[in-house]
Amino acid sequence: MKFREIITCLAVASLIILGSCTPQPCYQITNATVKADFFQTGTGKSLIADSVTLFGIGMDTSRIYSQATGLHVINIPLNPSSDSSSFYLKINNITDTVTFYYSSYTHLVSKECGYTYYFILTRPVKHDKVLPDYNTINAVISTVNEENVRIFY
Amino acid sequence: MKKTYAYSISLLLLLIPAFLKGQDTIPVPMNIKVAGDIFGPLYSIYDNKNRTLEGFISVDIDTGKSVVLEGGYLSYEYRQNNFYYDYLSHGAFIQAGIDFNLLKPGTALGKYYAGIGLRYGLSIFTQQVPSFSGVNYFGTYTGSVSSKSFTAHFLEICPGIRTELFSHFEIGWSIRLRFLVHSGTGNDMKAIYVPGFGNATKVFSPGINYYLLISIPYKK
Repeated sequence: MKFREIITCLAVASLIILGSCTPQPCYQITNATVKADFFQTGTGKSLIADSVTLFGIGMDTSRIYSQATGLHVINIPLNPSSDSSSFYLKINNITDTVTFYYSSYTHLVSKECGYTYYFILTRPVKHDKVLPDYNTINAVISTVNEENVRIFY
Repeated sequence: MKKTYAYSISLLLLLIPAFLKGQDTIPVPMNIKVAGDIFGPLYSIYDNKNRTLEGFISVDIDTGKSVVLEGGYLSYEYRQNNFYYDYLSHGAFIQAGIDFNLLKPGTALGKYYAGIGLRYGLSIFTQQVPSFSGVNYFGTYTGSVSSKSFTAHFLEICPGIRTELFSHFEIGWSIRLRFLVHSGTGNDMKAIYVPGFGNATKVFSPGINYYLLISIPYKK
């Protein structure tokens, strides 16, 4: 093998290695949320809410949804520094206070996006009113787009 | 009948030189080679948070094949500033396999190698996340993951070339194409860096080694 060919091979190899070492941006979702879908009580049909308002108790100046329209699923964040999180929820004209109880554990999203917390719902969702009603489908709360809770109203 | 015998014998006589040519033997020494990688130490000058020491011993089992045992130690530190976290990993690794020299014995002469190696690798390492933080609806959250040991397994294909520079002294390089079989860490705490393998958040990890070798002939 000639010297020139060796240099060429080395250059190609270097490109492969350098390419693999270049920092990449984060394109992934980094926060796990409860994915809650809306359903009609009795029929069990999927619903689209006319208006949704959601915020953490004591955090009404920082609203997650404020009279949002056309939603059939909402994403509810959980507080990693606590083992429960409570929210004010208003679907159309129905209001409720809802509390999630959970344990948390660390999860690597990716090298680029770093670490986050995943959660496991440890108790049924606590709510003040008979309706809406809440049914836990998947207790593992992650960044994956999977249904966790069904809200019947 | 006599003619048939005559033709047969003539044909055999014609073939004899071909057999004799095939039986010509060029003395090719069988070697034990001891090698040290210089790419890792040189790379650590550029990135002093990534320190590697590794090398291998190979023994020729015939003119085209060698059994290889590699080993090394790696210490890796990484800090991500955009999505803040610190990560530490260190540990030892061994790899065992075979190198196939694709050069003909008459060309290789026990001094030249252009071939491909296959390896099985085992890495015993410890990883730790001293701190991480993120932001969500409730504000900034922080955390850490304490030090814990794991065992990872991987397979490797390593094409490369080597050549004798002086008597009994060789240089060469190989590209390392590694495939993770099992990281041992589970899905939630995937290893960012496994010693001997590399970035273990992905199944495939490429690398390169540049070797200085001492060749000790043990048989001709």
